[in-house]
This record gives sequence, C-alpha cells and structure tokens, in this order.
Amino acid sequence: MKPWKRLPQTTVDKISYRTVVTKTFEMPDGQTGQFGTIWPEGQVFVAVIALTPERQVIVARMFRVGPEQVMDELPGGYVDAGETVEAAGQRELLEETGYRAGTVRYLGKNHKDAYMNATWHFVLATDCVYQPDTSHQAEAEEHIETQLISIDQLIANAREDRMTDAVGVLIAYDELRALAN
Amino acid sequence: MKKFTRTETIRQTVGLRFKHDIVIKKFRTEDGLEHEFTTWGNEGGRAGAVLALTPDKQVVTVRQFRAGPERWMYDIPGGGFEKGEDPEAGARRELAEETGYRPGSMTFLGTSSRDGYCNMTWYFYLATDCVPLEQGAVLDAEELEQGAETQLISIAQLIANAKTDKMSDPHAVLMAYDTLKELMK
Repeated sequence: MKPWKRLPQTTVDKISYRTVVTKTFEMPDGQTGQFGTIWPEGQVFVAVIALTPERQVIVARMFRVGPEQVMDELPGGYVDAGETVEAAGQRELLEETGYRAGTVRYLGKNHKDAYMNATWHFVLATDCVYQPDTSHQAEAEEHIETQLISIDQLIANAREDRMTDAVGVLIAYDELRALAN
Repeated sequence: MKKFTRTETIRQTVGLRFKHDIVIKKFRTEDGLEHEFTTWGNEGGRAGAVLALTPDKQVVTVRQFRAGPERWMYDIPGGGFEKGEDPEAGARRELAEETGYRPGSMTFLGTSSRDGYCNMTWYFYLATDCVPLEQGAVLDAEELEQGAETQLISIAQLIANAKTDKMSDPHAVLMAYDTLKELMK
C-alpha cells in the first residue's frame, strides 16, 4: 500500500505556542485533500521510564493544561538537533528530576494521534540515582514535583488516565511486569 | 503543587477541510504569575474507540492513511461522539458505521487524555462476539477520502502493531492487555 502523494501546497499557522501545518495530499480517488496537523514537521520528543536500583519509578508530578489535572508524567522533553534519543532522555531526566541514569535502552516510538507530526520516543533507564547538578533547573522545580512510585502504580496510572505518555508503558509492559515481580 | 486558576480563554479554528480547534488558556498561580498555554481539541470534546473481537478472536481494524505520520495505520474503529451521546452508544455507532460490525457484548476499558495539551477525552471499550451487519460499513466523507478499509488481524498482530507505531491510538491495547494475553492462550 503506497503512501498518498504529498502536494507542495503547505500552510503553517502559528497560534501562540502552537504550530498547525495544513498538508495537501492527492488521495486514492484522485481528489485533493487538505489536512490540519499539529506540531512542526520532524519534531522529536523523548520520554523516560526511569527506575531506581530499588525498582521505584521516577515520575514528574505536574499540572496538565489539557485535561486540567495533576498527573504523574514520565520525565522527558525535546530531542535537540544532533542529539541521540538516549542522550536526550538522560539529559531531560537529570534536568527535570535531578536523577542520573545508570543504563539507558531504547524501547520504541509513537505518534500519539493521527494528526500529529511529532514523534515520541521512549527509553528505559535503570539504576537511576539522585545526583543533581546545575542543569537541574530551579524553574522546573517550581512546577514539577519529583515522585517515586511503584511499577504497579505506574501501570495503573497508564491505564486509568493519570498520565499522558501511557504508550511507553504499553511498549515496556512485559518487561515492567517481570521487573515488578 | 501550585494551584492554577483559569483567567482567560481564546478559541480559534485552523485548517480548511479537516479543522483543528486551538484553545489558548491563560492561568494565574497563587504567586501572582500568569501562564499561557496553547491546547488543542474542543473543550469537553469526547471520542471513543472499540477493540472489537470476532467469535474466532480476530480483531476488527480499520486501515487508514494518516496525515500526521503520513503512513497507513491499523487503527481500531472509533470517532467523535455527538453532543449528549452516551459514550457506549457512541462507540457502538462508530463501530457499526466504520466497519459494519455489531458487538455481542461490550465492556468499558477506561478513558485517556492522550496528550498533556489535549482538551478531549477518549473512551475505550472491549467488544466481543462481533458479527458483520447485513448493510456493511457506512463510512463518512472523511473516512472514504482516507481510503478506510476494514481488516481482520490476529490479537498477536494487534499487540505488535500497538507497540511498533502502526496504530495511532493504542491505549485500548494497554487497558485490555492481560485479557488479550489470556485470549491468545
């Protein structure tokens, strides 16, 4: 099955912090279709399932402005140009929570929504220890509270709408279950 | 945890045929600071999807070209609910319209907010003993244009798709994971 043909007409609207990209495709029936998508094309994020040596999960408790609820999210953020996903995960974990990862392993990726241009990558970090340096930002501390929760609690949160990066938990599900036992 | 109080809301719609609702929310925290965030999706908007199994444990999926990743994805049937529509009735209607299947029984799996900046809520259901209706699928204009096509796949394939970015919304697979593994035995 071939991808649709992308036509050159593309509109980029910036509304406050949000970018909407309207893409034009030639569809299988020969008609032209315009689709509004969000995030700049090629935007890359990383989220980290980070475990301490005692197999506690390090989560970033924060207020989420979409659902307007406090949620226990996976630490993460933008992958910078030229940076590997694994390195970005380590950096974001340290900046957001003050924890330094022992080992980092790639898990997988997802798009979150059919109309999103961004890709979210997930990594598993083990043997994470609290060792903050100057990159652990004071600003992050104001809005984000680092919490340690059990693996079972992480799985329950992912299933019960208490985190938005739940797909990372799905990708790592079998391994997390094994680690919890 | 700081308390965020909403002080202002600005709504805009972007896009030509397939539109996106963008909602700028302004909040104030107790320390007097103002915060502006740009969220997407209608506030109070609801949608749903059904993980639908046939009596011989095949999964009813809809293959669609998706404009974000620009690839064909194997999604589970679903869509937006109508105003005031009961979530289970909405999920049942979407299953029938997109695939032409009717469920034997339906179980509620849970809800998802999908993204930290998304205002909508998705409802997920597990449907078993799904059988095709006589009239088949009744696709809407958008689904037709996207070349939506019903495909039956195995549970093992569904789980693999959900973990390898071949599904745009794999939350139902996470919610039903243990049940699905049982059914595979």
